[in-house]
Amino acid sequence: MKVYLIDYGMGNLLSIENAFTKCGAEIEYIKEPIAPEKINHLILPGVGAFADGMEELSKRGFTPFLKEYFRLQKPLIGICLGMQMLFDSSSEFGEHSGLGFIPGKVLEIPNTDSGGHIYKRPFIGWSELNHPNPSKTHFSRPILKDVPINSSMYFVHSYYATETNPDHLVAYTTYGDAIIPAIVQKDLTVGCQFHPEKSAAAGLQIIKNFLTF
Amino acid sequence: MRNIRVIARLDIKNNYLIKGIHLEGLRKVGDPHEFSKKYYNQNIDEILYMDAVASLYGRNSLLDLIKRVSRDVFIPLTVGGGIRSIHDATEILRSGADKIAINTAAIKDPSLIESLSKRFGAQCIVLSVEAKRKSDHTWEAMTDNGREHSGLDVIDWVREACTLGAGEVLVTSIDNEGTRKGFDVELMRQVSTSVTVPIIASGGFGKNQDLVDVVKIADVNAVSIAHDLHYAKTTIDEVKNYAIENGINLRRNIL
Amino acid sequence: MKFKIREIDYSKYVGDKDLEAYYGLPSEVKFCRNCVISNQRPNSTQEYKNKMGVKKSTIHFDDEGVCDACRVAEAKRTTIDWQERERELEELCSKFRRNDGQYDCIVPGSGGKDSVYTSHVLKYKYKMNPLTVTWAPHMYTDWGWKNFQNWIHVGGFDNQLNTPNGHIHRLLTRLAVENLFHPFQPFFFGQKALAPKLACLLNIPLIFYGENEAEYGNPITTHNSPLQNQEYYAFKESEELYLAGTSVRELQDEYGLSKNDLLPYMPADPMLLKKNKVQVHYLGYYLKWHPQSCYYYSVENAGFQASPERNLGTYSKYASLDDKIDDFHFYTTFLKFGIGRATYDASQEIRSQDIERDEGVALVNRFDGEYPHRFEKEVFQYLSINKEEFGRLADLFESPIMTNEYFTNLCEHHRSPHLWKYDNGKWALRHRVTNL
Repeated sequence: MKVYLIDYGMGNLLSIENAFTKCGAEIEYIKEPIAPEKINHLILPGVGAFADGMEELSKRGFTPFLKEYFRLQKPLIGICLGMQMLFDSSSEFGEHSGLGFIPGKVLEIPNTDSGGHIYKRPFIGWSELNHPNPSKTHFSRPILKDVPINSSMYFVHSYYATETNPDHLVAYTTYGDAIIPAIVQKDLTVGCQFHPEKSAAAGLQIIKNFLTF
Repeated sequence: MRNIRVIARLDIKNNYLIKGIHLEGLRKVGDPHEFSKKYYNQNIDEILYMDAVASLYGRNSLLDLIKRVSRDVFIPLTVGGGIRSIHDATEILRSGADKIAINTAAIKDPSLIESLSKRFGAQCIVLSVEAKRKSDHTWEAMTDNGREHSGLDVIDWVREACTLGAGEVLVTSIDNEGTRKGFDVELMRQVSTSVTVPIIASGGFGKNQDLVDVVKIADVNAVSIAHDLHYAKTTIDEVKNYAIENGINLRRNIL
Repeated sequence: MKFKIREIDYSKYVGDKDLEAYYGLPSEVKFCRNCVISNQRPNSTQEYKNKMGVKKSTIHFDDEGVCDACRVAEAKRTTIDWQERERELEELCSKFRRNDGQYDCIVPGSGGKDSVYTSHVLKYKYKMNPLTVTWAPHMYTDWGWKNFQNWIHVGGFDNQLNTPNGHIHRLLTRLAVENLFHPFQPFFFGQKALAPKLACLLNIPLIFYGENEAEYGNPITTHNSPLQNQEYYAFKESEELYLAGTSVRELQDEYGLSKNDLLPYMPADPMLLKKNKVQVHYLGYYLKWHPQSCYYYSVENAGFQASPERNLGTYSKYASLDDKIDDFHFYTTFLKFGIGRATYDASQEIRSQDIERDEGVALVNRFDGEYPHRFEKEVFQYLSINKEEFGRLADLFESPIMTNEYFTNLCEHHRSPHLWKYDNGKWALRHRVTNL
């Protein structure tokens, strides 16, 4: 199964390639837009600053390409910065517009909680996935099939999505008082704040699930 | 407090996993690829690869190993040892590493930290510090795998490096490493309270209580273990279960 | 005044024809194909006969260009029956082991990795009762002293420390530097002779050293015996004995030293050794020696700590780290023979299969011959024979105080033209080891 990976100069693409390959996919890198009809699964990776990410996408002509792809309602997964850019905007180094696929605003993670404890940034580490509905004992949405509640995923970031639509929130984690959307999904567009390609077996399971879309 | 990370540290020479004491000695332990897979399957949170001789020989040789390991091991991998330039860092990240650790080159030219951080993002840049105790409460940062003096106080240096863009600090106690007598908790505590970036404690783990002590007293975010894992003095499960029983949050294996 | 600034004939070092080879060294420089040692490596010298002009015997290379030490290493890996050798050790120990509380063997050493290993394994594995004896270094490094103490108090041994009169020791060291450019020579006398002499005095005839010098290049045939060559520590009284390159007679008649002053440096009496049936063995004959393993063993069993900084002139931190004069010892061998500390260390580690030859080459070219600046001040002070402390002996020296200028002159004087060239005010080795 061919999966396309956008190479816009930001992100550890080899890790993503290795993980998807392990799950049975064949990764094809695209450095510039191709006809969206050719693509059935698309990955938007990203590590770094929001503004840089949006600019690099724009420079290479990926912005209209992504908008068209999104309009076609086909499977898309945004990872880390890739997820953040799916939202309306971010306040990282000034106000910047995102792709606007999923409602929400990206803000800096607070580095203290109400009790005054320090929360170091970037937030680097493993954190459990929680179901938005506290009474649930397992995840039912397809992207988290066979991923047990409270599975740990690997997060590395200093900014997080806020003001998200509850319908789009698939799983969250916490850091201090902050509720961090870990997985968001609107139609067939998925955002992972963590790195599934670095989250061991549970992360690989999410990738496998995405490939079934 | 977030989940504390348990990291396996692999010192490498020429494709061998080795283990020294006080950053000296080349005793071979085995195949680092096999050890990496083993630790991954046993639920280690991250793996740190340090090229033990890169500075000495002026060369980098972990690229091949990382390429191979990153095909089987899907957790964060950090690579350090002899990274001198953006080119070195690019090569290593391109080969499958997620983070790079720098020491000697950064002390020689601190602006390198800034350049690397801007280029790859602070979360990719780990400052590696080799700390040698000078007095009861001071340590000197050494370079070249614990061989040369820099004249820099560890705390001052860590502060400077973090303002330049280091996203994490790996602190290795030269006095304790390889001795299994416990971490240098005072050192870790001082570093942890001087900067806001996550700290990884390295050097001296000899029993499960050591992790609990260094996390509770020094408030570090991650703990690196080498000898006790390589020589099977403990297992990752034992380490984690003991920590959890003692009130430390850790990533558990549910799948 | 006996010791003056020497005139250097720089023309000897220019060009590449008809180059004189000092010390009787081989005129052609070759490097071992297996390790990185050169054929200029001097074998152990009979120090009691060592004076200016003595020809050095050097390490032997065979037809394949491989040195004796590498052949010994090969034999250790392939042909020596270590089970048999251990059996011989057990037999030897059974013969000498005492159960009445008395010491049954002497282990000479400094608390470095080799003596720690030797004493520990004999005491705790082979159930001997060793008395460890130490001939003090010229000047202890802090970490060397700490390791020495840990040997005794963590490793658990009885120890006898013998420190020669510092006054005399300094004078002899300075003389050794003037006559032989060999600051370590006074140490060698005690290192070799103390144990045999104590063996006679204390009635403990069995002595164990670490490994045989053949593992480092002495003639390969000497590796076939467990016993140390008696020449190193005993001497027939009828022959003229030299210390620091000066005859004992001269030391007494012209320098005013007494028999008392020279007692610690005297060799053992062969008649007394025979009468007491003293035997000096190498533990390395019975147990396969691996220096790095001795390091690990020492840390794990006796609180040994590596040096906190790189030993100058080399890359390692685990060997030979207790004497501040060590740096100068290796620097002088570098100047005289073109072989520095990194060459010795790398060659050993190549033979031990810890590193590869090309790694050794890189290390030698990076670290060999580093100027010993870290303890320079203290060592120069040590070597200064000033009027206040030494009275009229100071008059023997144009420069009683050791200065940079005087030391540099000594350095230049001892560079052999067949090894060094002098170009535009800079010295450079004519031959450096390279990859094959």
